Amino acid sequence: MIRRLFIIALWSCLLLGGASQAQDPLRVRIQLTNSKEYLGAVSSRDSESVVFLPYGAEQPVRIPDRQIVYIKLMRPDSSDTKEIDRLFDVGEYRSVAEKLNMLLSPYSDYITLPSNLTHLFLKWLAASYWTGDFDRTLMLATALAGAVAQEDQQTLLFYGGLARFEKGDFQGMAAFLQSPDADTTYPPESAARLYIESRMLQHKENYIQAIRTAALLMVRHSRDADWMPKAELLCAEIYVQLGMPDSANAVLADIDALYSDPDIQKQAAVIAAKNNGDER
Amino acid sequence: MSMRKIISAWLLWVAAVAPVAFSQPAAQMTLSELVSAAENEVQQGSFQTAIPFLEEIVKRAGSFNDKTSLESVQKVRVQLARAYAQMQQWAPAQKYAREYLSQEPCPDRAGGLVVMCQIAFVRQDWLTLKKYAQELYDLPRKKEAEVEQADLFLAQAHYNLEEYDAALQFLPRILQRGGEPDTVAAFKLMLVRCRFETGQVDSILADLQELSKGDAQYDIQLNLSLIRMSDGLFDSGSFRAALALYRMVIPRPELISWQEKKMARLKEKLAGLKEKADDKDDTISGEIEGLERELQVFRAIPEYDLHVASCIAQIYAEQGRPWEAIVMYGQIYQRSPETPQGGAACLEMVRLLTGLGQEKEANDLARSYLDTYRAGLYPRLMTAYLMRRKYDRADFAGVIDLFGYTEKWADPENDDVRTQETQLRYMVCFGWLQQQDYERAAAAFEDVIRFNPASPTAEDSQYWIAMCFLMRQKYQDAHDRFVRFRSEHPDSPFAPEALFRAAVCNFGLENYEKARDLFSQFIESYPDHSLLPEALSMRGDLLGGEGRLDEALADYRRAIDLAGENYAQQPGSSALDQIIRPATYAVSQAAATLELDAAACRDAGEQEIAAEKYRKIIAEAEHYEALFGENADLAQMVYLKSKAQFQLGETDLAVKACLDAINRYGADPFQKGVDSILDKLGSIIKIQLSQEQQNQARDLLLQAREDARSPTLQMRLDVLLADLDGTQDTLGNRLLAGEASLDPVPPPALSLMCSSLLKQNDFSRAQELFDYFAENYEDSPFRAASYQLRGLDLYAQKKLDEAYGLATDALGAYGATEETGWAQLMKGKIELERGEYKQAAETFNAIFSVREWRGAVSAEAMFRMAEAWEAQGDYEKAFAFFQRTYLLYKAYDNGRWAAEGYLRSAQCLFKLKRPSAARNTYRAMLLDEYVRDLPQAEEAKKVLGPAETAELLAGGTNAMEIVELEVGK
Repeated sequence: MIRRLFIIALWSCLLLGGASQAQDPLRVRIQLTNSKEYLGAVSSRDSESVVFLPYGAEQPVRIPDRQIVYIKLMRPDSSDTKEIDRLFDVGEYRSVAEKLNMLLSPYSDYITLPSNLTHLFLKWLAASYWTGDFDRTLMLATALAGAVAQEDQQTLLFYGGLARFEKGDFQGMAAFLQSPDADTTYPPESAARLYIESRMLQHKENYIQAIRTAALLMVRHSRDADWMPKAELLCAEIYVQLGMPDSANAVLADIDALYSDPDIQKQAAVIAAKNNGDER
Repeated sequence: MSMRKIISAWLLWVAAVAPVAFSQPAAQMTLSELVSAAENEVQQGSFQTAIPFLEEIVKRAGSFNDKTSLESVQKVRVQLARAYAQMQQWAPAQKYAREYLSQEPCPDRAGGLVVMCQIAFVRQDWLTLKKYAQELYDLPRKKEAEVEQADLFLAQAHYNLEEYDAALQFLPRILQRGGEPDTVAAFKLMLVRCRFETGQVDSILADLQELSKGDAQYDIQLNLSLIRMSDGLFDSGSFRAALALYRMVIPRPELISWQEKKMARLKEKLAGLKEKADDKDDTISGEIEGLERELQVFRAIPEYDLHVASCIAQIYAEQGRPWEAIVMYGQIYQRSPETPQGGAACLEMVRLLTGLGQEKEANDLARSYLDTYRAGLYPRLMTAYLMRRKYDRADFAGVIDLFGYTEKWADPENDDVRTQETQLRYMVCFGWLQQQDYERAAAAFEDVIRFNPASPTAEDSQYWIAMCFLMRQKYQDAHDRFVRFRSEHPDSPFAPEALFRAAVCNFGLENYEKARDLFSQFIESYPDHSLLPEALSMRGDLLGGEGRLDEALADYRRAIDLAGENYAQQPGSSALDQIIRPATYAVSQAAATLELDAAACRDAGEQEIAAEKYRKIIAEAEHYEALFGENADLAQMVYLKSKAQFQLGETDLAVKACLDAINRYGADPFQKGVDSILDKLGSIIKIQLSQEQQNQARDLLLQAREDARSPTLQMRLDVLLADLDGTQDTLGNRLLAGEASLDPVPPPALSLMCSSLLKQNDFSRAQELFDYFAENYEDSPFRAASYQLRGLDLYAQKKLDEAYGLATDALGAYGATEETGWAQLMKGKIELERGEYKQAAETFNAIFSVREWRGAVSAEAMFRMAEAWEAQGDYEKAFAFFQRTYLLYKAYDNGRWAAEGYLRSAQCLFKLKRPSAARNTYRAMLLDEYVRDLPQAEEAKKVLGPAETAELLAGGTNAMEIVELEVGK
């Protein structure tokens, strides 16, 4: 329970537009463990239950989370979803994250419950990772743990693990890679696995193997628009560490020309500053 | 669905959107019933049902001439055209559209034109499409939908007519309007192609990012277009854009697999529709047929993945991203190592790894490739690359070693391969040349001629064979070959050199007049040749030899001035070998000539003239210094000038001049010229000065030592003073004890340290000193002692191969000098230990022909030569050489080799069953005052017994046993 409270509290802080302020009741259809479905409105939520007013009833009832199988939150406007899907498909993660932040804020209290919005929360999770918002990624991964179906648990593990890793938890990742689940979450030779391996080698200052692994990522996954810029940035960074400033500049020039995403450009600028500093 | 189909479907759909009207059975209906029925059907979109009603209307009312009828029939015509087009029945659609457009009234001209455009589009008749679409576009007062249709048709027409600029007027507008993802992707690809074709490379990258998403990326045409565009960009040097495009290309197997899966899905869908008797099955059947055709064509296209990967790798390499290039090449090599692309990839990897300093990996990779693949161009190219690397490092044995791979190779399969292997064989020849193994070098050049007689390399080889004879001092053979070469290949770039070398051969043969004539011929024939200064110097030498000193001096001066002119055009230290060294030789020879002349004048009592000659020496040296500035051999000039100054009695001035140079440069341990000055100054003081002058010079040196502040300069002066005083050992030991860091120690002092260690047989710092010399003073003349110390160290450690290599290197670096006798000796000893007795005997034998190796080195060589024969079981010959050892070399090495020679002679005689002769040898040993007190004499005493020994040592007898009978045996 404390964990749930924590999630909800922290969660509210992460949302834009003051998600924690008092909200109007939300129209919902709730499916319970007794296989019954009820239409009505939820008026409030605490760490382990929702307050639900079924249509026609005079008094709300408190339903514990454990009794809720699925909750369908009636959204006033569903027109944005298609655009979000499109933006997600073309990798416009910053726009996706912004739109989802706006769209999902009113429903943030219900993130821990399986719902018709769970797939959007999952998209937000991914978008958060790809825009470098690792705190939010971790938060979403933790909050969604009880909400997602079995087949989506891998997604949580995948992004949650990567976010922790990006925040510097090399030991945790090393331990995970030794576990039997590692090959399922990050299959060998997958872009993510090669990225992780390269970063770990870089961390161990084995720069040559690190850059070779990053280069292998680029060879094997050259059409992966998500991993390619990350791999290129990593290469640029390692070239700086290898004391090869011209090569670092060559990679940075490619990044400049090939990726318009401002997040990527920003990261490239940081590496460029370091490279030029080193050159001086 | 292919891009064309996607666009086609869209165009048809767009055309059908325009509203029409229709309804039921025709022949018995009234005209108004027909119109009503037709309108009803059309409104419901049932074009097929509407057609009979519409055609009946045209049939009945087609001949009416009143305005209303004409208008109605025209309206029906255009509806019929649309209906048939919707059903993809193009002939009737065209008939009605034409009829409509050719008659009045024609209020919906746009509708008729759209149908004509659709037909032209389907028939891929782009010119016709352009014509109708342009007419549609130019119509005033169009509806928005018609504007869009005009854009679409014109874009298609221009694009397919390769009018890319024109297509670009429409495509951005079309894309702005959006649409289904696949359609947008198809138009985006067109846009990219148009921009590519019109040189707007920079703007295409952003467009492509969208194409890499979704199913659009699997379009076959898209992928083929990507390859075409990437190749174009690559060829034009737009690497970054090419890289982006190449990366988007889907590997062929993946693309085929995706398309096959798609086809399976369509077939499944078709089966489902047939069960439901859905009339859409025709469309899907058509799509399947189209896809099958496309796949069939695609499968016939050669594999492109290796090409794409190779281009990406090249781009990485070109852009300065070596590690990415290596990994990419690695993938190519791993995938198809036996193909030319695989071989090329491996070679590039080796090059890149080498460039990154990953020598071991590069070498292992190259060797593994060469061990496995033995045919085609790439094993040759790889070997050539490795050979060049070895050359750069002066590892000539390595060059020769690599040649071993050629034995495993199949015969060259074509001229390219043969040419490459010829080059490689040619390179090996120079490996032998650099190893100074001229006999093998000549054989290797002969091999090149045999291997590829028609090649230019074969022609050049003939010149080099002659050079090998020259290097072996076989002047006559060399001369004949040079002369033949010139007559057979008068246009060869080596023809001038051949004339010059022929002159050198005559010089060697002591045909001086002929040599002078040939040099003169060379000088006149090739006034711009780089060998001209050398030719002038050599003619100067010959003229000097004939006593024609003024002419000789003129040649030397011309050689110096020519070198000066060349240097002015190519200044810098790179000119050292080619330009300055011949000038240094010329000035030195000029000085020697003037010195001889001066000495003769002095002998004739013409002191004034002699002094003038010495002053001229100084002037020549200064002239040379002025020409070559800081790259001049200053040490040599100081030497020449100081020698002249000493002769002029200007001892003080001479020493001061030397000291001035020493003080100026002596604090820098890397200033090798200073060491030469010191070395030469030492020689002059010791050999050429009177005692009084020597004392005077010594005082000046001591003063300089006292004033010196830099440890390096101090050590330099210490070395010179120790040389004058004969206290090198003391200084050497002091330096060994005192110097913690080698950094300030100049090469002569390092050399002294090595010599001291050698005397003590102390190899503890052998490697350190050798490596330090190699790293810091690789070409220093003072490095020789470090070679010896390290060579003996390795030999003592039984690292025979390394020791042998080092000895060979030392001989290569210094030639046959006093300082390298040990090396020749060690080579022989190692050959002996390896059981290479014949070679060992040859190696030892070579020692006797070198004047510098006479003495202790020859003594041991003689002894070892005997050992070589003994090891082969030839005791007669062994005995003879042991005997020569004690007869000829008893005075060397404190009699050690003579003593050993006696004992081993006696042992041989015992083996030859000549015991009396053996005992006589022991007797001779005890009578020989050089050896009888050495420990080896104990063996003789033991064999002869105490009584005879005492008698012999007391000088009481010198009786020998009679040995003729034994000899007879």
